[in-house]
Amino acid sequence: MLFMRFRHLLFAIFALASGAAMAQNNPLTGLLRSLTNTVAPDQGKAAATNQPTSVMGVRGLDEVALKDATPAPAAVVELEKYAASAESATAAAKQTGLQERTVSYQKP
Amino acid sequence: MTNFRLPVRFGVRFGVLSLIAILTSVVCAPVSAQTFNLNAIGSVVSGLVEGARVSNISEAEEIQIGKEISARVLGAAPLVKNEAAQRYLNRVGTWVALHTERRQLPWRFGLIESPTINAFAAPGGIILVTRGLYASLENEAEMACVAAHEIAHVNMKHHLDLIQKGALTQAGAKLLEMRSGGNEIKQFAIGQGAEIFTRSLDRGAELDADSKALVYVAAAGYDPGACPAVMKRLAAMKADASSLAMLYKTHPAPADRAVRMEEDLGKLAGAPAGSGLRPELATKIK
Repeated sequence: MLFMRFRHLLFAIFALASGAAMAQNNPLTGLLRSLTNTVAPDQGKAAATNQPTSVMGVRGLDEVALKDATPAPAAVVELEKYAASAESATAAAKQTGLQERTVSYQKP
Repeated sequence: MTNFRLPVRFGVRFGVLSLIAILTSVVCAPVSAQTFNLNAIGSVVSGLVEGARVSNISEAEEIQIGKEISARVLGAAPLVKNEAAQRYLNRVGTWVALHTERRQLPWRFGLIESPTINAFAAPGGIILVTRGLYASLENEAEMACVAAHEIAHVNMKHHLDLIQKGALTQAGAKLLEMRSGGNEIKQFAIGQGAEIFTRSLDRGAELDADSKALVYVAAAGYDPGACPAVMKRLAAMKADASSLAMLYKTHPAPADRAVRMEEDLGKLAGAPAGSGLRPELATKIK
């Protein structure tokens, strides 16, 4: 009897361990997670942050900086100030001496 | 009799425990997994994703998504305080954009503060170029090449496709479509923010953008030979240089791109080798 209970304990441990291992690549568990995300958006965010990423170490504008950036909508508005109209861009190009051409790739 | 009953009881217990094992594997696994591979979902819903992507986002929505994403990039790297350079970049970029399939988009070009060498194409027509990349350019034709490559990404909706595919894959295409008619996909796309630029497009998309860029640049009157020249210069820099790290992560190697561009140059009709201009930069920055 004691032998049987010990066997049961081993089986239960195996079940928990295999469950954790299957989660790594199991499409079914993935689908279940996706369903959970749809119902509970906060958990969806947590899943999104678990996507494989690499540390860039780029000075100034790296992966972390882009991911954690606080939006600067005023800067988007400022972009408008520098916009070039088609007319002004064309005038500048003509002044530079650029000549439009019809270009395409030759068909093989 | 006793000898016979023991295997039966064992068999029942074994069956119950097997059921518990299977249920544990399926139900508990998602909870116990700390690292979750989104690709697992992809294999399940990939069939649902196809055909439900970019087509359901209008141009106005694409522009709005682009503004939201650009706001995030500009939050990480503000605009360079150099009005002459900003206006110059916009004149050149807009001139190139006028020679493309989506000339009607409200094209905006921004020079951003970062020593890294990179450029970003947000959906809807906002192109952001780093100070590091601008400073590495030797003439206006090279600036046109940079703008043209990013314009090609916008025109082919590469990043819009990437974020929409990600949204659909994560949440399950059919579920979202049924629940919201696609609105949640757009919200997800906006929520992705600038992170989208840390992901790689596939190699084919980058090379397609290079091929289109040569046509755009040549059609605008520049020498398309300036495009592989930029790539060769980048290839000559150390690949592990911090200023190039993200460019190498998200793009094919510059040397490979230069080779492919030179092959494409030989196929261009209407722009013989060496034709077109390479004007000096009107506004230089350091």
